[in-house]
Amino acid sequence: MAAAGTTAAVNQPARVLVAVCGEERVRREVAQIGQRLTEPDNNITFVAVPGLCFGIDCIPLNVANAGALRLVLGLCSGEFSPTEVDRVSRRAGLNPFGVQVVAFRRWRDLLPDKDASAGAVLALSAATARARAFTRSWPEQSKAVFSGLSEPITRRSLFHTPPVRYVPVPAIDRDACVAANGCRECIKACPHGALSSESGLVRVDRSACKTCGLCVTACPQRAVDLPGYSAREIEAQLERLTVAPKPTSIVFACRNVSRPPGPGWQPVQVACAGMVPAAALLSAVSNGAQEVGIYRCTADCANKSSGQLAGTVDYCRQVLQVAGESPDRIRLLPPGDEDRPEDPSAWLMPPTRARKTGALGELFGAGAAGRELTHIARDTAGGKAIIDHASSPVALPEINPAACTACGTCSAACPTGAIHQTDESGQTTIVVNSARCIGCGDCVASCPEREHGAISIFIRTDMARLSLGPQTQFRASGVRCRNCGAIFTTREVLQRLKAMLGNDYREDPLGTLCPDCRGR
Amino acid sequence: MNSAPGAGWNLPAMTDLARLRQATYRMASETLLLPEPGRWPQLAEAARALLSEGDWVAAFLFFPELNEFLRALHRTPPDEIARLQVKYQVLFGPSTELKPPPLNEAGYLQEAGDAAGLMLASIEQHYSSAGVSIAAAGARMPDHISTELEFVSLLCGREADAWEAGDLKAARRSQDRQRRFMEKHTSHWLPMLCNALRTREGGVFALAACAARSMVVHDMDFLDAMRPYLREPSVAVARAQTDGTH
Repeated sequence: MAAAGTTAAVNQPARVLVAVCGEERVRREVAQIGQRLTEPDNNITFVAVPGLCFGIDCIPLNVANAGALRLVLGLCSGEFSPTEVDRVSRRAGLNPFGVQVVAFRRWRDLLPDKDASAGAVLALSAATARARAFTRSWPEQSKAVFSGLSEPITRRSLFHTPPVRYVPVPAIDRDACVAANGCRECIKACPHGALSSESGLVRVDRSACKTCGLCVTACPQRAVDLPGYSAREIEAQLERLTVAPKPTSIVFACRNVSRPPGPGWQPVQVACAGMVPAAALLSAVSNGAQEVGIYRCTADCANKSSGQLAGTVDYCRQVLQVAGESPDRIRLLPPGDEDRPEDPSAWLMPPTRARKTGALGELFGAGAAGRELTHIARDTAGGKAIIDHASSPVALPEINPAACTACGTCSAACPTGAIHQTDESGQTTIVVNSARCIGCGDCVASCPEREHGAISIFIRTDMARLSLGPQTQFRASGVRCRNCGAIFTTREVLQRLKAMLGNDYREDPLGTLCPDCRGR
Repeated sequence: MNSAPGAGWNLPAMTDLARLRQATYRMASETLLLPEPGRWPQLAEAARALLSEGDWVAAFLFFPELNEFLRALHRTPPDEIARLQVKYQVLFGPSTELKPPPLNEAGYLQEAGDAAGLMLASIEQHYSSAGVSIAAAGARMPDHISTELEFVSLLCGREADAWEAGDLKAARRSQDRQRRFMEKHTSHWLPMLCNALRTREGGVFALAACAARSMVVHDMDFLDAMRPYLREPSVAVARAQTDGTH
């Protein structure tokens, strides 16, 4: 009994305090929202605090009373101070990066409309899921920036600390990172040169980092953790939004957009709009989102991600088109500094043909886009399409049997496992999985036979190939050591050696003994 | 505390922040020495005073670790000193079972020999350029954690004095010294000591190391970010606007 109880306690989701600003005149309606939120989840404590937007000092006491480990704030004025939220969270013993703030419009605008109230419940519930997905952060994962210094500083003002704010900085999970194998995806993706590699370890220059999160999306191993904007947190929020009973309109909003998106949108905050992966856009539509929008900060993003973002959106729209869906389900919205996105109901989208798998799964990392595209290839009319697009999140490695020696260098260099080599029953087999290939080109760069065209990469989405799954592209006969019997090379490697060495080639011992037995 | 109107709460004066940092480094330094009956009641009293300092401390990143450390110090009853002394010996003394976590920087160097000599020479240079030296009798090693933290504490004290006297130049000079020393030395090995102690002990010694680590990480950024604002105001604002963390 004790053991079962322990397991139950371990598996129980973290208790979350959901505190919302509740004006007196809408007290009954806010209470109803609380009821709808807590009924299906008894690990949520809901409190409505009149005037919360103008003072959140009551939060530490409420957190202590609830025994909460996470916090979600529902604020309606839109003028709260993030610095103040951080300070109060720390006082409550919570990590500010894990605190979620849902910025509502004024309750009186929201409440008379039943759909809007349902939207409030959904937004709070999704924020709760995101808060629970936050784990922890180390001191090294944040850096200080001074905010609010827009006026000339007087000598006198220097004698008070400027208002300091902390932004997250990524950390690399060294157990998951494959930089030691040559992977440089995060380094290539960083627009600020904040990442570098040293002795097979990725280093983060915290002063150069601008918290854009592009490294999180680029990492094929999900080894980059950016507290508050980690893959886990974004996936958890999106998953809750897509299992809503009614199709929802989801907008990925850059954290630097200060104004909330227009009515009807459920926002998912990201560090930069450029970090939204194609898998997230496509999976959201496939799983029931009526429309998916991306709300940028400015048209010319400081993270230089505008081109990449436009490419991703254009690619996703092409996928929807070949799948027989309206491409307008995915849109790049006007930047936050120009205009609010319009009400999504104005788009008059046809009913969604959602797959509704019930679980969204991983949307970041190698294989996430491939899995979604494979579903689309198998379930829709687009099963035979080929999309040649520079922003394709999957690529197609092709091995040339006439030149490949099955030396195994490509599979060792592949950071995603898209090329896999096995040695069984005297045969060496190379299996290629297009759904996991991200087109990094590490296999081509490392191939000793690249001059002979042993391997090529095509940045394209081949739906037919995706639906077939992993394919064997090359088989080679292994050569056994005459002494110990172990397979130590392939016939193709020996032929290449013979061609290279000419008369200097000696079949014995090069082709008969493994390197270990040769030395004995 | 001197304060200026801020957004919803009062911004601390630079003097207060420097004094807080001075006290914390000093307390962490003293905690990581072999516990002595005379010293611990003073530490507990200082912890109590800092805990009541006010809400403004929560505005800073290091608050959670600092708070935990201060609470642990405050909770330690005077009759626990003997037990803590044994714990300290077990944790850092010679052991046949586990290699104890070194309390000095040399223990974390990847290469021995010349590297240790260079490191010690560099530390001594930092000390002497600030006009301090290690007392010869009964001295700690210059690279001992408590010596390094005490040195940073001393520099924070000088910074606080400079703010109080309105001497911007002296305050900046002291901040630069702190940053250089932490960047070259303490920041490299304190996280490793903190992790090692957290894994083995999890008590007041680990909390002291982790509070100091959190503060060092914070101060490196904080002092770096502040540097442009301590120059010509117009230049500082222009730089802040260009930098605008995105």
